[in-house]
Amino acid sequence: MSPLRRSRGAECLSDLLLDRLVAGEIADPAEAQTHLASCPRCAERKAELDRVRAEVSERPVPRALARAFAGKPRRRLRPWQPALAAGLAAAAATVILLRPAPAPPPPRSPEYTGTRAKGGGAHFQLYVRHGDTTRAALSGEVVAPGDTLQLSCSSPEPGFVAVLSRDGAGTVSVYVPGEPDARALVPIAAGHDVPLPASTVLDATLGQETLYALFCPERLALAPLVDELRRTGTLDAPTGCRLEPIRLDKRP
Amino acid sequence: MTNWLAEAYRTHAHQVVRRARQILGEAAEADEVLQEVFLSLVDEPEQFQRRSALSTWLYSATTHLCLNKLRNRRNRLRILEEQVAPGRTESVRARADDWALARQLLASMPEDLARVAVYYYVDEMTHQEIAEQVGCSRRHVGNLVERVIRFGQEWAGRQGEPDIESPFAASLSQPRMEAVR
Repeated sequence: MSPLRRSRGAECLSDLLLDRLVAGEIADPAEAQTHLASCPRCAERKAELDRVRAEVSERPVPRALARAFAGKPRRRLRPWQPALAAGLAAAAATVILLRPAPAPPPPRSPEYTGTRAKGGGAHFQLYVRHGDTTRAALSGEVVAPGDTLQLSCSSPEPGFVAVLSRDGAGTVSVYVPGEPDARALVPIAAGHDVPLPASTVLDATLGQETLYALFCPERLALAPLVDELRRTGTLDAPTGCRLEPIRLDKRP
Repeated sequence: MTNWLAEAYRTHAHQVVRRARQILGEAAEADEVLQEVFLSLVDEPEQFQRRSALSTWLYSATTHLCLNKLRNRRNRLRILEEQVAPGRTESVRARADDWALARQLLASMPEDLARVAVYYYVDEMTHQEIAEQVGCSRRHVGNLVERVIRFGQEWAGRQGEPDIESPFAASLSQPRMEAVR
């Protein structure tokens, strides 16, 4: 059976109609308003629409857009460089393998400027391989022992990265860099979805595990970060760095 | 020239964000789509010829960009899979993560079918609305929807997931994870 299904009733409003209704683009909205007042499903979708509208309206206009709307020239980024994933196998508390990146990253929009304030606009994407399938994942993901984790980093500037972990038993591990004797963050090229140079196979410890993906403009030492995570159970972003906690729920 | 765009951003940005999140399931990528849609309008405002409502145009542009990103994501996954460490030997059956499956399905579809699938299943448009969005007859929309259904069934069969039950729309509109920030 296809994973494609619809949930609307015959009389229900499409999201497009709801959006146009809110935007004041419907010349005669009475019929739609009447349905909306009597249909829990459509009212729920409208509420979700209103929630996102409120959230977006509270956010500042992204810098690149604000400049464009003001008629100012936009900053153009240099061409993206091929991924430079380093490549040596190693192991930490869990199994970590390194391989060189087999191909350059896919083309990306030259308009991407990164709007996040910390860490120069870098952000991470987690991928989880479970059995024979790999999926993009976000914080809160349910994972299983034996799943393989791979992160990628998107940043308009090169920098240095590390991924630390604190598992359900409170054990702190360094997933990236993969080398057991690594002392500092590893370099990462600018680009879109540049794979980090290590993937991680999850061990059998169940429960909540948090990954701390760190991007810094400078090559910081790992030891203070590991020590802070062990002592406090959490990690704060060092000055000028971007830190993304990614929570995992490891179940059998 | 850009004043109306700033106003359009204020009144319509949430539409792009909400739909991009639904289709992509990833907040950061949805924000990228938001920027790309409106920057493209700054660069080429004539794209929107005002023959339809702005919402209609934004739906089309957002769908196009999101489908491109899903396809890029599929390519990235393939690249990553080549470099991810091989799994352990024991076989663990993959969970039926419907939202992930639905996005994989969309990324596998030809462009014309994928657009119709988004309008039909994500936005839950009527055939008439899809016809106006795509610029074709209702009859043709009916044919396209049938092709989408067949494609989805055959795709699910090839994935070995004949028992997927959760609705596509529900799986996309109720992401069970929070955005990474």
